[in-house]
Amino acid sequence: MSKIRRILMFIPGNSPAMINNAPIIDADTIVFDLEDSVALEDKADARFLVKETLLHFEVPGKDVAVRINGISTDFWMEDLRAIVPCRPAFIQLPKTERGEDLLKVIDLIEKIEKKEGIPVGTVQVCPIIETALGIENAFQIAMTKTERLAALALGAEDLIADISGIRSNESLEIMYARQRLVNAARAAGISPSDTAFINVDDDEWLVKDCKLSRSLGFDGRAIISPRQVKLARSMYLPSKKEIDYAKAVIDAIHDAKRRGRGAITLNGKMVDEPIVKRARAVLQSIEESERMVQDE
Amino acid sequence: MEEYLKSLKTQNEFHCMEELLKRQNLSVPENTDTSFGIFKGDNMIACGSRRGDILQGIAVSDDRRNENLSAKIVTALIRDSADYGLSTLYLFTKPENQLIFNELGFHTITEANPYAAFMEYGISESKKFSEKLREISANKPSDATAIVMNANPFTYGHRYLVEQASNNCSWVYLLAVEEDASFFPFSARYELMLKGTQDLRNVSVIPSGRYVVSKLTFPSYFTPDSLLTRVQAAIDAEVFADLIAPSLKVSTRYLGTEPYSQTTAIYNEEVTSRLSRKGITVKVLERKKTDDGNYISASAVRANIESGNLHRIKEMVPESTYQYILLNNKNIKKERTCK
Amino acid sequence: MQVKAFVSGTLESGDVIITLKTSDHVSVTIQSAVQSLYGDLIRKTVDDTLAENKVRNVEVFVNDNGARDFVIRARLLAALEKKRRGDSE
Repeated sequence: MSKIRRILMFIPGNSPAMINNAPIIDADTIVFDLEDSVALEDKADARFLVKETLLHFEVPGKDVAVRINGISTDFWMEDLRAIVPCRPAFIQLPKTERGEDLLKVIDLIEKIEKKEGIPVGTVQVCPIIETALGIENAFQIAMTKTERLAALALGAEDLIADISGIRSNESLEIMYARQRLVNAARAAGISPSDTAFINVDDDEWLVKDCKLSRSLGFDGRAIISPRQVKLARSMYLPSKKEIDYAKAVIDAIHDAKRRGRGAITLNGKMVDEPIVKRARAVLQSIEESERMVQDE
Repeated sequence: MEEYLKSLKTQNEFHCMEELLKRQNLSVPENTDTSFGIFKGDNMIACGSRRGDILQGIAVSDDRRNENLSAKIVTALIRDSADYGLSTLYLFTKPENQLIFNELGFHTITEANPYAAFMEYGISESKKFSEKLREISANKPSDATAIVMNANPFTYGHRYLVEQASNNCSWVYLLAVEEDASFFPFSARYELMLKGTQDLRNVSVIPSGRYVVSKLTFPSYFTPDSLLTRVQAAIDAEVFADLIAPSLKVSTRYLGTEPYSQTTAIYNEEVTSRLSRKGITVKVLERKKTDDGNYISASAVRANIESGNLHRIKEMVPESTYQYILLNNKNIKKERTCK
Repeated sequence: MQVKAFVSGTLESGDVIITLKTSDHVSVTIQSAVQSLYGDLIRKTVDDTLAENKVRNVEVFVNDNGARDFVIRARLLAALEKKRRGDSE
């Protein structure tokens, strides 16, 4: 089970002022962006800046990831060559449409890991699905080297354009995409990550959209403005019921161990592997949240 | 609504820029090489241009001040200019705007109140220039004299001026105006100045670099026509006083009169008052006359070349200049007809 | 040979904008609002980065706006890379 990530804070990779803010943002994951928030003529500058940031800038208590440029651009290979040696938690690959695309990227990451003497598999990948074809191929993508996948993410802006939909607060136009993506991710055993909410000044709809997103099964979402972090995070935290259930699962495991039993049961039912993994992930993410709250 | 920066290409985009500049009471630069604008929807809220190595027309909409939009525009201009090999950029701005540009990393070369400040950004060519001048003047006397000369070409009139200076001063620096927009190219003018003063022991000829600010380097859009000569002269004078004179240990400047030119009269007036204020003595010398009572002027020489009356030139210019003209006559005329 | 210049960075707060020019020696000029406090540190970061990369032939203009040293390093490395590519064209 991949780690549960609730808030993926996007920071434009060419902006030192915004990069400086990273440590004080209440996200569990910071994503330095080399793609859409960086102008073409700044791509090279951004790559060097993100690299030096990964090497020298401390962001305690958070995972650090990088969104590279897509495989249809001239930049993705150099992005990987610069970034992978710095061991980010994962690479986000935008506009992933097919398992083959993902494979290309993972192959190169593996080559670089080997060359740099990094244990293979250290740098994970999170495909971002942003097209109609990608949504159709969601399960195939999620099943490509699943052990390498940090999460499966949705990018609604480009998707809506691709399907000729019309953006709305209610988000019905991406309902199918969201559900399909969640389903594919869960079926493959990885965490689904929702798209950013782009109306950065609309708190009311942010809360509504997060509530919908969570109920559809997303673990968290991309965030593009620090303003959104606090509200969004509270919406994706597990409920008391979920936490209690997770604790009960762990107790059941200890219980089974003590009694020398192979099978784990809870309330008379068998508890299998995915549920155990989920329980562990939920409790681990709570621990980390609490730690972050303490640090404030 | 999203805001974005872009390089201006279409007529419509340039029209937006003109509108913004007019709203800010700024004139519109001409013949620019590159322009950038920041748009919000269809409205332009900031703009800036470059012509050669001079930045021009940088403006931000009144309601969007203090947001660093000028930083974005100037960043784009600096980055773009590097593609053309430029590591030094210049700027003329109203004196009260210097602070804004200081904050962006520009420093002032000189101020010509109340008209303009002359500023520089990047690898400082002006600093290198003044260091070079210091090197040249290191082993020469202080209290030197300077003459700025276009010498298009070098005539007996010029010679007279130099001779006067040479006889009355410890050392004379002839600053040859380096701009190549004259009848005679700079290399020729410079060579003739050298040859025409070879025999004078205490005279050095130096290329003027970018720092003799003539009408061609000073962007004319910046000032109304009526003031143009005066403003250009003002800046030229202040640059001379602040950058050139101290590095050459110069305490005196010679100016020639040009009785046929109103422009020169204004120029001399401005230079005299500003240099005097900064403790530099200004001597205005009347031009030499020919035997028939006319002033010797380079323009008369050029006219005679054009009309093919080379024999008339012989008594107006030193031998070295005359020989050059004879030798290159065909080429000079060909170039003229080609222009 | 055409003279080339290479620029990296921006004028935004927290950033540094660096202009590089190929030359026959190394020369570094720092322009900073916090020159008196950090001028020496900035210079050290620049000198160290140039030395690490065995660069001996550039003139550098560093226009600092309160950048941390990893930012200065990044911008300088980016400019040096542009120069490396520009020179080999």
